[in-house]
Amino acid sequence: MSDSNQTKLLLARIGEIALKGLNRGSFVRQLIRNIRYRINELGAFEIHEHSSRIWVRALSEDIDMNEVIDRVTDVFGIVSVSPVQELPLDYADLQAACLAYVSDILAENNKSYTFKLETRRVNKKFPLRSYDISAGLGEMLLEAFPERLTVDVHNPDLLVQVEIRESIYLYHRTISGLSGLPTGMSGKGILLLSGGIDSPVAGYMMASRGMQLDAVYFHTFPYTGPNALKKVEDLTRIIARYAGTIKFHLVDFTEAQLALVDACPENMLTVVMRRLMLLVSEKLARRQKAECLISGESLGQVASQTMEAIVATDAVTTMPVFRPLIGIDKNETIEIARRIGTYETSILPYEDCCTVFVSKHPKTHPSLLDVAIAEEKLDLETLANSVLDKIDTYPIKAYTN
Amino acid sequence: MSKYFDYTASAPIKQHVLDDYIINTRKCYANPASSHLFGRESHELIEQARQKIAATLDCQESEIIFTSGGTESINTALKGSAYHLSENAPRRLITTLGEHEATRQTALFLERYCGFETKWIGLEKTGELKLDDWQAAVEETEYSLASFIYVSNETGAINDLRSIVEITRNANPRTLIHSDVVQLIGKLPFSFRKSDLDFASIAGHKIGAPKSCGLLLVKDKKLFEPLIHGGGQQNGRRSGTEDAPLFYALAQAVELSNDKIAASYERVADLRERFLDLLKQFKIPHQVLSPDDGLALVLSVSFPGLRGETLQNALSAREIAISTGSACHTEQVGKNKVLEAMGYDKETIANSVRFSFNVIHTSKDIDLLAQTIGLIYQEYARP
Repeated sequence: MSDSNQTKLLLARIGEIALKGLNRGSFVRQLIRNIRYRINELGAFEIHEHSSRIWVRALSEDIDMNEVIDRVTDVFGIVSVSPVQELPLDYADLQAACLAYVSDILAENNKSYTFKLETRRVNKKFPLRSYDISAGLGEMLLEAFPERLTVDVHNPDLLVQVEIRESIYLYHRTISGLSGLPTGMSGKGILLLSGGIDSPVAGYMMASRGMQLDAVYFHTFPYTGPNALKKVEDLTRIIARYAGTIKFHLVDFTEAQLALVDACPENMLTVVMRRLMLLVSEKLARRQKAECLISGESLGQVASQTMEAIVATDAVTTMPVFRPLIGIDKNETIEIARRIGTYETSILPYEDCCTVFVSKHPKTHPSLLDVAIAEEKLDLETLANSVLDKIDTYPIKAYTN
Repeated sequence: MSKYFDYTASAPIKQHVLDDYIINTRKCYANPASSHLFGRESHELIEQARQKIAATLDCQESEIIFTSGGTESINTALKGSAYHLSENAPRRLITTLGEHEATRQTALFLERYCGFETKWIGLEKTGELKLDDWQAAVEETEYSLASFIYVSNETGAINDLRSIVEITRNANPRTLIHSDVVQLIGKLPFSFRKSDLDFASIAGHKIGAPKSCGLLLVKDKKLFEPLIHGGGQQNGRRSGTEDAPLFYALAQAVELSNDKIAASYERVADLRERFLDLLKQFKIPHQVLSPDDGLALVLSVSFPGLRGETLQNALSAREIAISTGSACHTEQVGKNKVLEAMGYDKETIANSVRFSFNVIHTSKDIDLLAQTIGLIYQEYARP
């Protein structure tokens, strides 16, 4: 609607973080930092907290407020956003503004609306009481637009809200945010990205609990091509929309992969490969001061995601591996992927882990003994260290203009 | 030095064609349908284009329809004929499993929306359509439409056009016969008159014209329903403002690619021989999927233990361009409908690539290609 471009002020409501007791201050500061980071390039803004809400005021003229709303609602920790008009503490001004405001909304089409006017008077110094303001303005609107407006206090099409605080705020639209915790409040983890549907969702879910993300991708060029890499970078860019800039670690994995293929029994290749990937990721995490690894496995989804395979994989690392999708059905994951915008990219038909290296008949219930035998001719530790020297790290941002 | 071996997919615009195209685009901007001086100039350019094409492809000027490319030509020939069939004509199409997607998908469209039945004729191991099966089919059943690819874009296999047309005509003189001659034009001589086809589809960008232009040749003004209706341009057979400079560029490309065509072909055939010799000499394991007597410019080869996409990626990193026989993602591994129809197994298909040679290649280019493949094979193949 057009009103968001007339008002240059957003009211952002914060949920969970308002409850966080002593940490509240740092949570809000982080949240403001995250908002600022997302919208900075769109122009100059003043962002501050007041009475448990965050206020985002555009200072430059030519800012697209719809874009600002889109970006602010994508910040974890924001429950909802309303574009508001700010008015001086004066009833006559409020009347005039309210009339113009509703007139603008009605000008958008020829529909008739049911409406309700709701007032909250926090500032008790304001001479009129909430009920009087609602009644007075409501009457005024009915008189001004008798053909278009009727009152419905239970289920109105149009809910015009007035808040009397240090100024008067007028709005009618509330856009839901993602809630969750502000990214950066819950440590840092490294996300193992494959290019499939699951891992981007896993990253998103950890970020929604406040975790800062790095991403690692194991590239086996020329078995996997430039399109596969671009796809993973694109996925990272989409997650960065929610999680902020992501440090992307591109691992040249070809030589190590070939070493595995040459030394490891075919039916154990996938498990051993995943073990090596975890080991490299753990070493990388310690270097990058990250405290955990994140992966997109869901129990029993494929051969490498059986309980035994996961146990065998995890035994290689002492770092916690978070698997937020472990108990989630594929359909549910797909639904989240669609909602956050990664699905369409995830299903692009580029190899995510080249089929050359997929075991044709993988052992679905590998024991640690199986692993030990499979790795007999391998020194995973040395191999992991050599891989560590072949990592190219660069930041991936959500927005580039 | 050219490291581009994907001419079957697309070719660069010929320099001379491009130069004239730019000049003509600046000069002949008027609508050829306008009767003022400027319009007539554009119109004149199209007339010249028709003359060149008619002379080169041995057809009447009135038999030429300019289109946006091979795909539109094929769609027009098949759908346009189907829409125009008389009520009691059989709604049956005969085609092959070796067709380009443009034909395959159009046939599926006719099945889905126009009540057509399609007879799909299989392929020999060498890639040509099974002529006996074709003959048996057309003698047994009456078909309104027949469509076959002249030269396979996947393998270079050349169908026996003369026999196919003759057999089909003998069986039923009313059958409308279309051929996708995209890969043949500019590489081997072609006479539309002698082909006795009713329709032939041609793409511009395979022979050094810009993209988005092509030809549909239609014998004796055979009637069909146009796909695109509008202002009645091109005698109502393909509406839309005519792009005189583009049509002219296409005509020039047709003409230029026909120049010294036999000598050029000879040269490319030598390059292909050289390449195959080198693969043997370097002891690179391989299986040639193209027939020996196919079009020399297209060569399909499978390298055991090396995915087509892996070879393509590794060559691409060395700035050498080839094409894969099939994609490498899970569901599509080993999928290539034409190679499948020839009877190759998934593994062979997954490991297949397609080289397209061109007269501009030198023996040095070929040497570099073969050597590089040797190095890549050694490093990455796991037979």
